[in-house]
Amino acid sequence: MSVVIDTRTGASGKNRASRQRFNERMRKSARDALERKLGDSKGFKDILDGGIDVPIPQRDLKQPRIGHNPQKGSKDYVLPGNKKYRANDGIERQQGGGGGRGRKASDSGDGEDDFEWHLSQQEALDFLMEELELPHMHKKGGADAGHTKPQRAGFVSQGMPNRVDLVRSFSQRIGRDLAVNGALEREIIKMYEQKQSVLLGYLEGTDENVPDLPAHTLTNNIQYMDALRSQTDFLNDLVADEISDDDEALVAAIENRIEDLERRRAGVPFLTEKDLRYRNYVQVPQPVTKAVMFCIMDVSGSVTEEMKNNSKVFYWLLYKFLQSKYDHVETVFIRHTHEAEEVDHDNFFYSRVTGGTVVSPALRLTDEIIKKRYSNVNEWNIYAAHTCDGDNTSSDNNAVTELMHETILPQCQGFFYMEVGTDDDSDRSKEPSTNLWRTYQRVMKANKLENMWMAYSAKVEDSVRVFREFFKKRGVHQTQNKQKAAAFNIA
Amino acid sequence: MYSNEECMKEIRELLDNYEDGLNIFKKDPPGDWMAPLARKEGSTADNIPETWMGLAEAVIGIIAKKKYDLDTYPNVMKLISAEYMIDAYTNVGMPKNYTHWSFGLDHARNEAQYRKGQMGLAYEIVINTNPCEVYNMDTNSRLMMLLVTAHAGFGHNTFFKNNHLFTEHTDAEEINPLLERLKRFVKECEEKYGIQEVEDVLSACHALESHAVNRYSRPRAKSPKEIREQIEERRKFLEQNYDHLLEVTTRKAASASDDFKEASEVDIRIERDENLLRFIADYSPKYHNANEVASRRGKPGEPWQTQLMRMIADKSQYFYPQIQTKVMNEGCASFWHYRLLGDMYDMDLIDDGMYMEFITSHSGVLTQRDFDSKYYSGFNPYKLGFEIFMDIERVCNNPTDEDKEWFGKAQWFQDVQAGKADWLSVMKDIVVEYRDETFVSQFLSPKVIREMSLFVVHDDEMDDEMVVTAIHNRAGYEKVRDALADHYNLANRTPQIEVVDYDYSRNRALYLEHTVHRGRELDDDINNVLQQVWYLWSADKKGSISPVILNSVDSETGEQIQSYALPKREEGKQPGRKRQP
Repeated sequence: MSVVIDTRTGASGKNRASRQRFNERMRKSARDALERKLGDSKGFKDILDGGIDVPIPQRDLKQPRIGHNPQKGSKDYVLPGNKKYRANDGIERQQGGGGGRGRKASDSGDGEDDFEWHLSQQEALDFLMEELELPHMHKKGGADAGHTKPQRAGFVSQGMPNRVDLVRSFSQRIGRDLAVNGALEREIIKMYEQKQSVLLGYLEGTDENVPDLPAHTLTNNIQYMDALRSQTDFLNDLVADEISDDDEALVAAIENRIEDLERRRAGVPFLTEKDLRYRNYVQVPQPVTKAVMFCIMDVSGSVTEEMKNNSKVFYWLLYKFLQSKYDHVETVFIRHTHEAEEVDHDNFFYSRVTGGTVVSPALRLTDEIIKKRYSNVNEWNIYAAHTCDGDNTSSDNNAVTELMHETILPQCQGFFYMEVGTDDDSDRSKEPSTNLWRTYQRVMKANKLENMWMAYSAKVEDSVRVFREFFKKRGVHQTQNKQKAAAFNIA
Repeated sequence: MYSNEECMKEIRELLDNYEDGLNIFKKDPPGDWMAPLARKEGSTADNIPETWMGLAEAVIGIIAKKKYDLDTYPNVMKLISAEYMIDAYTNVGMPKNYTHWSFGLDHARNEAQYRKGQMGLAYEIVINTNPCEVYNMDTNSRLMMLLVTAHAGFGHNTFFKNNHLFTEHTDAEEINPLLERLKRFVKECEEKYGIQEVEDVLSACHALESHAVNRYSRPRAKSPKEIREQIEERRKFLEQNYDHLLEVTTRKAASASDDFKEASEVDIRIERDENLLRFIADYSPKYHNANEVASRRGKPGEPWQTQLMRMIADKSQYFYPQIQTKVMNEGCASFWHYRLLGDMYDMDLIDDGMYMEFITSHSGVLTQRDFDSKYYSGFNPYKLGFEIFMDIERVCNNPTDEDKEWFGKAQWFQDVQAGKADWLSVMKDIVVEYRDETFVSQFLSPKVIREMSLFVVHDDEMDDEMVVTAIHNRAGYEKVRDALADHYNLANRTPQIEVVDYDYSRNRALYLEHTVHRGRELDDDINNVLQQVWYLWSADKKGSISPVILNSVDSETGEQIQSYALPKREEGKQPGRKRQP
């Protein structure tokens, strides 16, 4: 009788643990390799398309094995598929392929190549974002029902077994023991005392030595009971001959009663369900770190498709970053031409409009939204990122400067400006010299808060680097560093 | 033995219980492989297979057992998904495995290849257990299910059950518990001693896996108990023969105590031991004090590291027969699937379309690329094995003059000629008695050499070019056969490294010896391997004084060619790389 077993479900994942170990081991190699891959725009496109193959150098996967050196000594190979050779024909030695070195080629095999490791989009992003954080994120906001922490709240009589509190349960037991057993014990003692007084009656006038009894206190019921028992037993033996029938019956009745009480006493359980006490926890809402990110994108006519693409890559990364790393970060999307409007995620990334470039309306709108929705500045960590081709209308620069100094920077934990250009912008070694760049630079220099960063991106891969530079973890000393550190320039 | 008709009668009896009757394999299973088959009205037989796969196994089983009298373990058919197959691949076909990053690497590799479509997954995996576990992918076609069942469930299965290497070296009942224990033990150790610690030991063990087997079941080196008894015996002898008078008159008392000392520190002479890992587990100074050499083997208090080494060695031993019988095993399985599926076609259990699919698949698996093809990756064991087995059947039934000359002296051939044996009994004897090396050297015929156009290339580092020494002609057959047999001799493939000495009384050095055949030296990776050996033997954080020394010695001249040592020797002596004059 054949046995057929269906193992299709729940069977995979057997190697998950090994896979994780391997991933851990490969982490560094993979990150370096990913870094190299991101040097060209195809790498990033692969990530957008759902995943990327990164080459892991063979040396990182090396497992030593005992083997022969293929170059040494003499050996005979047998090979299939002879077409032209006759005995004693010579074959030139070649590295790989052709000739008669087929055997060797198979010995070394593809094992020598770098191993391509496929990272899913999420894995690749995790690597990219591993060392990133939002700067200056230290304000703690009000309590949030969704974010709670369990807190001890006394004891309850029902709960999960792992929360049994032994000390509490046993003191409960002692209480019950005192109440239930104590009553029985007192009753038994009373009976013994009756018996004792009956028996002692016979000894009046004699000089028999009767064993002493300890003093009866609140806590020595049991010892006292035992002493009474042995004393009365002793007395019983002593007066056995002279005791009257009536008294004998009385003593017997008393003994019956004692026996009955003892039985009841033995029936009282050591620990009952009712003694158990469980630690109680309640969920207490905790203050959380709340943040909002303003994504401001210039979509005016002067911004080419390619530049927009650069901006979008930056914002896409930013969006993914906030989503994966922070639970409590809100995002506000603002796009602007000569006027600004708040849009939703889809419109921000996918719809198209045109117009002139004026920056101040966008900053003004940002300020308005802050005032309206995030007015409790003590609770909210506010960030703003702006991408623009820098081609601001000259007359607007003063307005921008004023807005930045007066409203935006004082309210923000961080303001990030990425200027987008094209690859063929001449002389990219220099800083851009657009209107907006110079304006922002002046603002940054005058700004004492050290909460402004700016950079230039000409290509998709620049955007990735700018993004990582903006949000890299800055130690305390680094944030105290002068603005020099912040005003770096890509490319 | 039954004829086809008699088999058919029995199969008809079984299939009559189902609604689709004899056409059942020509139709898709109802819905899913696991869905119960529709019974014919009025069929009351119980204990008959309920599912398509079960029925396939039963029907093929009837042919295999009744027509060919194949001796097999019972089968457990497992229906699995592609992910499961990748998992199983990664574990070298083992049902379970411990955690180590290298398996994660294999898994990632397999998965990447599978995803890219570079690797068509094998349709089956079969595990040498009792009962024999046969994995079938759920994406297999009907025909593939039958093929897999015949190939693995009967072909491999009968090989596992009968081949002497498997019956002598492995215990089919033991492997699952062993792996389970190993897996659990690794996990426990990780919890107790840390993941990194365990990983280091495992990595070191893996480096020695090829030398963690006993190739021949010869008596083990002396057990520690025996060694102790030996010491004890000598001490008693000295005590009993202690002559006080003689002592006083001829020797100083001090020398007597020296004598005792010598007895207790008697140099343990060891036999050459090819199982490096097991030897290290038994004697490693890192894990055993001098006075308790290996005395804790298998006892409570044995360090977890040496326990682990022993378990890995057990696992290697289990795989050893598989490495030695790759050609035979696959050849045998291919031969039987070819026969069994052919019989099913003859009995009209599968239709022409399915037979075409079978032939396509069969010839796909059994393709041997020529050496100059860019797809060439060595011999295809399926093809080589299959051709030889098919050829044996041919030789038994219709020997040519060439065969008579070639095989004339072989006992089996004479028996067949005398009518004392037939191809089936010869075949079964081969399965029991041989391994790849001997199989090729005994049964590779000129016909197969010709058909595969085999030729021998001699490659000597001293010569400027390689030379073709034999091709498929009368002068070359024997050379080709011998060279190919040699190729399957594991001793030629794996460098021969043995423990030759262990300095028990002084610095507890480990001496290894590599016997160099035909000038084939070790590749540079040996330095990394030795690093691992040293790690297991003595190296610890503080550094250690017990060295590991490996000498390469020429097998013919006895001359030492190379020497490697760890820790590296002082005084500018570069360990290993120095050629002795």
